[in-house]
Amino acid sequence: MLEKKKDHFLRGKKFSRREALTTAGKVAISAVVAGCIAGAGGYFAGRAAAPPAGTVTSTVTKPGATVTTTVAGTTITKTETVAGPTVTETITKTETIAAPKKPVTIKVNWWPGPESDAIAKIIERWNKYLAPETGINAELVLFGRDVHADKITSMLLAGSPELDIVFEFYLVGKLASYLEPLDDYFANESLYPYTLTDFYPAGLKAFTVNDKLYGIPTDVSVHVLIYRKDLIPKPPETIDEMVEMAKKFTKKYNPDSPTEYGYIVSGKRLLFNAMLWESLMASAGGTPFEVGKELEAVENLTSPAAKKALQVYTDFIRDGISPPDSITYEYMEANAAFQAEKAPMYIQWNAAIGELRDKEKSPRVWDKVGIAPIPGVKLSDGTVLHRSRTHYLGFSINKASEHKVEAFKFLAYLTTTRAMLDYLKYGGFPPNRAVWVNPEAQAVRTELPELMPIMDKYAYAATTHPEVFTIYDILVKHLSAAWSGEVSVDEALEAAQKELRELLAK
Amino acid sequence: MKLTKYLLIIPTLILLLALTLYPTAFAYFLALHEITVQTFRNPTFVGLDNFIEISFNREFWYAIGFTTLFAFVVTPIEMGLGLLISLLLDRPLSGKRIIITLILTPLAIAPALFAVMMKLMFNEFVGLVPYILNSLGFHYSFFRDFPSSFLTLIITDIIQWTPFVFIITYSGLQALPREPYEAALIDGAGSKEIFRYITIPLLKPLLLIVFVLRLMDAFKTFDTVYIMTGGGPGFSTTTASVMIYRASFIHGNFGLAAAATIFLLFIASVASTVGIRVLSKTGMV
Repeated sequence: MLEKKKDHFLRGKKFSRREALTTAGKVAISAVVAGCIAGAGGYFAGRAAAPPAGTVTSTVTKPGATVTTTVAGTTITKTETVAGPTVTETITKTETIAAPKKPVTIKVNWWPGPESDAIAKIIERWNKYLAPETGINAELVLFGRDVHADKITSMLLAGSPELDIVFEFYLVGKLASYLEPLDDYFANESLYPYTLTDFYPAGLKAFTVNDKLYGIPTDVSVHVLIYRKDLIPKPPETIDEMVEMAKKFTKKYNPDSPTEYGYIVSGKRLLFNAMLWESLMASAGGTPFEVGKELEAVENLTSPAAKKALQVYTDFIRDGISPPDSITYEYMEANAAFQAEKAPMYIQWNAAIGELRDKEKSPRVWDKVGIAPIPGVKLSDGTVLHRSRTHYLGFSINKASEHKVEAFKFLAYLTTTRAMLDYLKYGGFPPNRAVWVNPEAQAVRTELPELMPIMDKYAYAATTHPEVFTIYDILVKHLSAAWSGEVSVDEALEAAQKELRELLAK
Repeated sequence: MKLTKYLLIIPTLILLLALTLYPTAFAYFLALHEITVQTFRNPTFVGLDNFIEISFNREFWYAIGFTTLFAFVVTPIEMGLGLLISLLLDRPLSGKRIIITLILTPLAIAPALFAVMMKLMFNEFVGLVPYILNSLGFHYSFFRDFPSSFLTLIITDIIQWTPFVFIITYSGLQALPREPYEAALIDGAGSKEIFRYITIPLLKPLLLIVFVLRLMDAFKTFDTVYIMTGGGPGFSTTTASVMIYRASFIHGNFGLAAAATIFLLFIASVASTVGIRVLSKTGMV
C-alpha cells in the first residue's frame, strides 16, 4: 500500500502535442489577463490617491471669519481677515486650489565615506522637516568609491533617469552634456532666494564648463604635509629640508631614529597618486595642471622642477626612506603606515586629518598630528614657494531626471549655510567660507584654522579638462615606472610628455 | 513534433541571443566608430582605424604577452597542485570532509575581495606573511618591484584557484572504475606505475577540460591585478583585461577598447585552434 501510494499520478503518463500546446496556451492567457487586471488596478489606485484640482466657493459672513474650505474630501482650513463695509455683509470668495501634488522622491547619489555619512544626516533632516512642506522626499543611493565614476558615466550615457542628483568630481568637463546647466535655476529668485557668494570661487569654477554652471561643490580636497609634531617641532619649509629630515628619521641611516622610515610615498599606479605628486612638483616651481593651463603643464613636464620632484620620490623608495611596499600604497595604506608610527611625515589629502586626529581610529598618533604647507623651493625674494592642489567634489542634476525642479530645490537647500554647516559637522568638508569661520565648525574640525591660510594663499584649482582622468592615468603610469626604478626620471617624464602631447592634440 | 521542439526552445534562444548576440554586435559597432564619452550620442564611423591603432600599440602587445605568461605560469602549477591534493585525499581519512571544506574556502570568496584580503596578508606592517617571515629571520617585500609583484600575484591566483582544480579532479577520481586498479595490484604494479598507466590515462579527458577552463580564466584575470598592483609598477603587471578596462572606463575611449577586445578574441581563437590541433596529434583529444 505504501509503495503504491508513492507512485505519482503523473508517472508513466504521456502527453500529446495537442495537450501540451493547449496547456501552455491556457497558462499564457491567464498570465496576460492577470497582468492586465493588476495593471488596471494599479492605475486606478494611483489615481484615487491624488485628489483632483478643483474650484471652491467659500462664503464669508462677517469680517475676521475663519473660513473652512473643503476640496474633494480634503479639508483645508484658512483664517482670513475679510474687510467689508458692514458687519453683516456677505462676501463670496472663489478660489481655485491646485490639487495637492503627489509626493515626489528624488534619488540623491553619493559615494560611501564621511561625505555620505554627512549627507545622510542632511537628508534625514530634510525628510523630517522640509519634505512635508515641499512634497519632496530625498533618498540616498550609494555607489562604491572604486566603481563610482564608471557607474555614473554608464548611467548618464544611457540616459537613465534613475538618479536625479549625481555626486561627481573631475567628471564635470567630460559629462557636461549629460548634466543640467543650472544658471537659469540660480537666476530664478522664486527657485533660489539664497546666495552662492560664500563658496570659494575656485570651487564654483571647478563646476563651470563653457561659462555654464553644472554643479555645486560640496567638498574640497587640498593637499597638505602631515607630520608628527612631537618628533618634528618645526615642519620643513623647503624640499631640501624635507629630504634631509626624512633621511634623519630612517633607521637605516640613523639607528637612533624613533621611526623606521622617514617618509611615506603613495606609489601605487593610481591616478590620484599622480595628483599628490603634482602638488610637490608645483611647490618645486613646476607647472601643474591648472584649469586652462593643461598645455603649458605638459610642455613644462620635463622642467628641472618636475625632475627634482620626481627624483625626490624615486630616491625615497630606492634608498629605503619610504617603505619598500609603498610602490603599491594608496590613501588607506599611507594613513595606516602613519597611524602605525612607521614614518613621521607625508603629503596627503586633507580628508585624512579627521581620521588621524580621532582618538579611537588613531590611538597612537591622534594628538601628535601637525599640518603644514607642502615644502617648496626658496624664491629670489627669500620667501618659500608653497602650492597645494585643490579639487572639488560636488553634485549635479542628471539631464535625464524626471524631477529636475524638485532636485534643484533640494540642491538649493544644500547651498545654505545651515545645511553646509551640518554637512561639515557630520563628516563633509564644504568649500564655504561662511562655514569655515563659524565657531561651531571650528569646534568640530579643529584643522580649519590651519587649513584656511593654505586655501587662501597656496591653493590652485585643478584642471577639469574632459580628459582629466586620462591625463593623470598617463602621468601615474610613467611616474610609478620611475618610482620602481624601471626607467630613469628623465625617461619617465619624457615619455609622459610625449603621450600627453598626443592626447591633447586630438 | 519537430515544430514543437523548436517552439519550446525559442524563449531560451531569444534570451541567449539578447545577452550574447546584441552585445557582440554592439561591440563591433563600437570598434568601427570613434566613440568616447563626449561623442557617445554622435559617433563617427572610422572603419578599421581603431584596429590599426591597437595593432601598433606597444602597451597592448605587452599586456597580451604578460597575460599569456601569467596564464601559462599559474595554470600548470594549479593543475599539478590540485591533482596532488586530490590524490592525497583519495583514501580513507578521518576529518576529510572538514579538510575539503577548508580547501574550498578561497573558491567561495569573490575574487576582488580575495585580492583585498591577500593584499593585507602581504602588507609589511599588518600582514601575517611578513610577520611570520620576519620572525624566522627573513625579510622580503612582496610589492617592491616587478619580480616581487609578479610573484605575489601568482601566489594569490594559485591560492584562490587550486581548489577549483582540486574539486574537479577529486570528483573525477571518485568516479573512476576500481577494476583496473585491482587488476594492476594483482599484477604487482607499484603506485608510480598505477598513477602513470592507469590514473592519468583515465583522467586525461577531465584534466584537459580543467586545463582549458583554467587557462581561459587565467587569461581573463582582472580583479586580482587591478586591486593588488593597479597594473603597476609602471605598466609591468598590466593584463589585457586591465588595459581594456582603462581604455574604456578611465580614458573613455570605447571604440579602442572594443577593438582591443575583438583583437584579443581573434588571438585567443587562433591560439585555441592551434592548441587543439596540436593536442589532437598527441592523442589527448
